[in-house]
Amino acid sequence: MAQVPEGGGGGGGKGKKRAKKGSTHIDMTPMVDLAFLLLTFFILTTTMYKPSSLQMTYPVPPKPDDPPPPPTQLSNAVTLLLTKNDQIFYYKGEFRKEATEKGPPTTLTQTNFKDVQKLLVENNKQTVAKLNEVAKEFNEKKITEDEYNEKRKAIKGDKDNLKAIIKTDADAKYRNMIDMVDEMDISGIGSYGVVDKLKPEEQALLDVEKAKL
Amino acid sequence: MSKIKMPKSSPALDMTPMVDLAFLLVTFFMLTAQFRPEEAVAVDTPSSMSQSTIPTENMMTIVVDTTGKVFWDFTDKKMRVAVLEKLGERVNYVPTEEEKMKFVNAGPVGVPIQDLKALLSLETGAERKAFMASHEGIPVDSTNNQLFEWISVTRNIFWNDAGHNPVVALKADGNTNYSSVADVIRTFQAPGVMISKFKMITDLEASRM
Repeated sequence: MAQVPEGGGGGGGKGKKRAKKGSTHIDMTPMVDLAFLLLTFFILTTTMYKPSSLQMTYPVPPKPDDPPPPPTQLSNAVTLLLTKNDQIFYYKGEFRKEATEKGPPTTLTQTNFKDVQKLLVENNKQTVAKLNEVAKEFNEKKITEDEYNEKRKAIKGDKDNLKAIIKTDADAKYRNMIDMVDEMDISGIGSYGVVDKLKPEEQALLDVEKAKL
Repeated sequence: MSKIKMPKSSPALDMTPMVDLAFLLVTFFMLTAQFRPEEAVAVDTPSSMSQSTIPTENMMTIVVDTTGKVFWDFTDKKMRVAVLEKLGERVNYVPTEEEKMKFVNAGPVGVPIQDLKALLSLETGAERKAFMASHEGIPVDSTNNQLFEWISVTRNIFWNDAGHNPVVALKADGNTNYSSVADVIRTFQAPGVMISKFKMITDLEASRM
């Protein structure tokens, strides 16, 4: 009555030893699990680390036998003094120790990195407007990228534009200087210089202001 | 009744294409991933709006950390060995093969030239990091401007090898006093080096990411 196991009967033991026919399908689930685990790990841990850079061009120092360069016209320049606690002091035009026919003696005005952009853009309105115009043309694809860059360069190179002199005192941070150079780009100031030494008279005025901070 | 008989699909899906794709992606990510090398110097670069990127080869980087210590770094291994040998000559130091390997993989290096031997005799990266932390970095003061030597040696070797100058980058921490950075820039402009174009490495401002 009991069921006879397959291959249990019959003569000889040949049938007993036959290997089981395995299925040709392998269960791939664990492998897929692992693959996706690794995939997720790599996707999540990969950070696209791409540092950017600011291209700086410094003037080549003059040779000793070169004639001294003509003095820069500072009437349309703003001098920004960077100092401690991310503060900026600025004055417009040339530095005047005492009142002359051109105006009263120079005083420093305080500003900071939030407001300086407004100040620069306001003093450089025409250039910014021109730059915005070409940017608009470029966005509407009226001009090519090369033309755009060319035009930008021409507008920024105009002699009558606002100039900026960035001066850092001993307490200014490198970050401040980078931020300032960035602002130059935003407010369309093509000619600016970075100086790390203040004139004694500027330092004296700045020290008074610093004491108030 | 209906003429079209939908074939009964088997509940077991053929996962082979999916697995293929998954492994392809895994392989791609594993092979392209570059582990960020452990930085010998922690430098938190300031952010800027500039979108131009930096090259991954033929670049000399001068690193300035928060305290104003100066480090030298170069991207190409062959150049690093050549620079080490040349600078070693100056203090009668002939690096062994093992020491050269250490130097190649060290990332930014910032010790006075006379301390190079002591630095490279240390076994682990952690020891070397501690050594550099306790030393003064590459001197840039006007009486003993070793940074000038590092730069001019690097540029000479590179020029003889490639026929043009390497890209120069300045990587400084945002909280470094600008005067320390200005010392480095002055060295860049010194007669005999005259680097007037260089890149300042920054992070892309978060708002633009």
